[in-house]
Amino acid sequence: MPTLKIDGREVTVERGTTILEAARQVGVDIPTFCYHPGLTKPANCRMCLVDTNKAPKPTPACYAECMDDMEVSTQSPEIVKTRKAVLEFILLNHPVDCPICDQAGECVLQDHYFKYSASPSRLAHKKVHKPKVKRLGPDVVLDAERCILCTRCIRFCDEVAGETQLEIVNRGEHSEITTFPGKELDNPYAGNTVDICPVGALTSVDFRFRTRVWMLQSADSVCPECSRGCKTRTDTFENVPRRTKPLHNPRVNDWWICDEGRLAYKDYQEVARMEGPAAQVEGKRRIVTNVEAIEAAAAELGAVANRQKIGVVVTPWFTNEDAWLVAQLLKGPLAGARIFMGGRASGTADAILRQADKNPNRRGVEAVFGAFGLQAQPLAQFDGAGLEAVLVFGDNHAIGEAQMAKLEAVPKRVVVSAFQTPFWKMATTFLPARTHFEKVGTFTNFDGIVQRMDQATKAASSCKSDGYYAMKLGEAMGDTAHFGRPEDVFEQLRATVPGFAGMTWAALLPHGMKLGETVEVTAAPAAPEPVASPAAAPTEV
Amino acid sequence: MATHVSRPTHGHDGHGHGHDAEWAKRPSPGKGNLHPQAPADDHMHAEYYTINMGPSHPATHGTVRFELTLDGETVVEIDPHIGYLHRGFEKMSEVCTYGQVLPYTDRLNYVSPLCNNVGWSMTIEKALGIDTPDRCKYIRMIACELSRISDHLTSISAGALELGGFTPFLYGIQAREIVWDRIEELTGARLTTSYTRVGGLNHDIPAGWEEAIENSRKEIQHLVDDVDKLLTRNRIFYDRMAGVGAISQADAIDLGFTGPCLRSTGVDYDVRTYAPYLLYDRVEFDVPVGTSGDNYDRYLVRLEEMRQSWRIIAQCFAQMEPGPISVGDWSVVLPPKDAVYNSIEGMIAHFKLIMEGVRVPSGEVYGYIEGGNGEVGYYVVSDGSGRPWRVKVRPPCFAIMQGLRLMTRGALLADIIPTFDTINMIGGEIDR
Repeated sequence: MPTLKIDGREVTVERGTTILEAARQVGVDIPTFCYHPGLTKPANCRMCLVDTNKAPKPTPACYAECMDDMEVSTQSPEIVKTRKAVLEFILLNHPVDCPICDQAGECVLQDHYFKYSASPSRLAHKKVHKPKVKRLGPDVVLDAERCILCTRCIRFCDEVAGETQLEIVNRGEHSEITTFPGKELDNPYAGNTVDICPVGALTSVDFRFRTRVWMLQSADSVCPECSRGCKTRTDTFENVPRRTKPLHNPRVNDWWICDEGRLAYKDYQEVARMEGPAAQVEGKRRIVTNVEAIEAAAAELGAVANRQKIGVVVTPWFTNEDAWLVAQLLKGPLAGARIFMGGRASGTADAILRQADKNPNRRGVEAVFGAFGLQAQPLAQFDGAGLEAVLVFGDNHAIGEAQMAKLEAVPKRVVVSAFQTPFWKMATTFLPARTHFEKVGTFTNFDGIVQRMDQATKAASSCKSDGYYAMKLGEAMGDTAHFGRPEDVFEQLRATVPGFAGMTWAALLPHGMKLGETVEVTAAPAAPEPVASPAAAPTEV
Repeated sequence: MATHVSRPTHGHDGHGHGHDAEWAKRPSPGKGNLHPQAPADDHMHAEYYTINMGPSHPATHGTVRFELTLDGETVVEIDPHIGYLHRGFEKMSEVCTYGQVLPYTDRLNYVSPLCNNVGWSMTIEKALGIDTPDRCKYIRMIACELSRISDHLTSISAGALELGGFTPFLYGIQAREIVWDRIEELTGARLTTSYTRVGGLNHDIPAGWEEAIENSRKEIQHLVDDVDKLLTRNRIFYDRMAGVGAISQADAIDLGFTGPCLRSTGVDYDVRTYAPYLLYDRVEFDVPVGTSGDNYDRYLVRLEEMRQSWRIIAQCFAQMEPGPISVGDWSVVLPPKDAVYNSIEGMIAHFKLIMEGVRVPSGEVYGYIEGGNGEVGYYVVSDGSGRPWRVKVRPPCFAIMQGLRLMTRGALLADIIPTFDTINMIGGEIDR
């Protein structure tokens, strides 16, 4: 356990800790370009050089390990000068691109130059020019002039994606990132190279030139595209998601996300959104108000006295809170109804992140339903025979034409969904739902990690969550209301569903909690943000 | 050094009739004299009545409302209502970069905007711990003194106008126009100057400007001398001003008076001499002070201060040497356009300064200078970002307006006008 001093601050760290990691522990900021906590350390950018009493020359803090009695200086005049020199070299051939560069505003090079140099150029010659638009793969374009050759993208492909696709060719100022001959940067995680590029060299085809980053508003989200549930940040502009960026969660996805999840936000923009509640008026389906649609739905379902003649299609796209509210409906007013679990079909899986189950919350929904003794059959086993009414949540169920025909054959069809799909089309009563971008709630991933997501975009006022409709239907059929804010529902959920008991709403940030895990009483609140509701305080543990 | 302004003694010029002696017999206005004794016609007095003066009264310029309680024509109570020109300057500043706040400061004291510009920039420079080049300081001093002249001219001229002196008003405003022409040459605008920058100035003085200033000085001093001749020994003006709106030294200090209003009571506090900023310690000038703290003294102090300002300006031009007008640090001052368009270094610095602003270390700072009306102070709290976390302005006339009640209670309704004029309340500054 070496003890050392960094800028006069004493710190004791584990053997093997680098100076950079130790410095971050005591709040000393050391600038870096090539260092990434999830990758190996080549120490090639030289931005993190620090002075120590253990070496005659400046030492790269990202690579050098802490030693006993080490004295590190990150602010000595030599180091200040060294950083300026490093930045001067890095900027020597850098194009004057900020006004057209996607990275401007979130560029590490801009930040470091402004903070550590802010000195004029001394270049007397012409800059070296390199290819400006070099397509490396389906979603990644390289601007070779902007590249500072930190090799983060190369290391990512080698070490994380497991496919060696990128390399540096040529020497000196002609060095350039490129793909191996005949190869493309087409691994399913290629988009991460754009995220980790500290400058604007690697750009996403999807986001390139679309929106200036300082116009974006961000919300923490959870990717719903598979049961991994990567922690993400949804960046929106004018209430429309513009890109998805992975956030660090060591329990789920480290720093990464697959390209499927990254680009999935666009799928929701390609389908027509259905925001109007509809019900039967004088024998025809008409747009009505929410209240009227809910009344109509309750009337349709309530008219079926024998609840066993009602079929309810639930979905693993519910948040845990939605699932809990739906469970209240199914064990209360609709007790006895036949339950079918829908959801998307399985897909590709790999050993990195991607899971075969392409639904975000199967584990959570099963846990909640299980707590109330609700058994769901797979939707594939749906047999409409004898059913008088069906209540369908969600619209992305993998279902064949024959099954669909069976659904449509049921006389009364209440559908809660967000998009223009066959489910919307077949509905006798339609209740417009929210997408996951519009919800606050929690998802439980395949591994049992429960993560919180915030609302990224605002929904039309007519669109409500599945749980809201479940509660309103229950209310219309004589049940009492349960719905408050999602955190209030979560409080009730953790009181009734085993596995959630030890959690608190606040403790779900930043990295989520595993089913069965308990907040430590002595631990400081895990959430840096103020506690949203009094009920969220860690009281019952 | 402090010099007393001299009050003329009437009587030797043919139209004095021992007025001063009669004046002395008159119950003096001010606190404690509300009802000196029940007058003989007490039974005729009706009850007090309350009237509004302003906010759209021609004499309540700057937009202010007085709620007056009158006993006949005597002011029993005066309750000034400010806020009609509130723009939320302080709150707006919290969402602007330090540079973006500057244009808002133009609109504080809009008669001497350059003083506000200089004050703001100096406050941020104080927080950053940087020092501007000498040439920048001299130009800032010249700008401040021109502003002071503009401020005092406005106060004196408007005051004269409202006492019926239309000619001195025209002369004064003509002089102010000349000042504003020079300011326009310097900054490109008469009022919305936005001339300074954190760390320097927008640009150097234009060619031939020194000569233009010298010519203007002659013209303006001639006009001011005319105003002086028309007003200082004018019987009507003197009677309306002398002894009216007086405030004691102790009260003035207690209420936080600064500037001409404080100096008229005999206190020689002037930020320029008590806490010399810029290069005021390198120039010689006198700080005129009065004796009685009445309207007349405030008028005389302003008149003399204009003459001292010209002295300062002349010395600044004499001492000024060619050189840079801004600190060279690109993390504070925008790089030259050539560097912005042709080098990535200049481009990044420009981008960061425009988008995120100067990074001011976290902490608090109070910067203050001598504005036209007194001490203009900016209290700024920074959280280390490029935008202020909190800004509080200390406008000099806010403190002085508090004294209006002491100055006018017991006086006549008509005395409010010259008193309000010499206070020189500026709506943009008091309401922010």
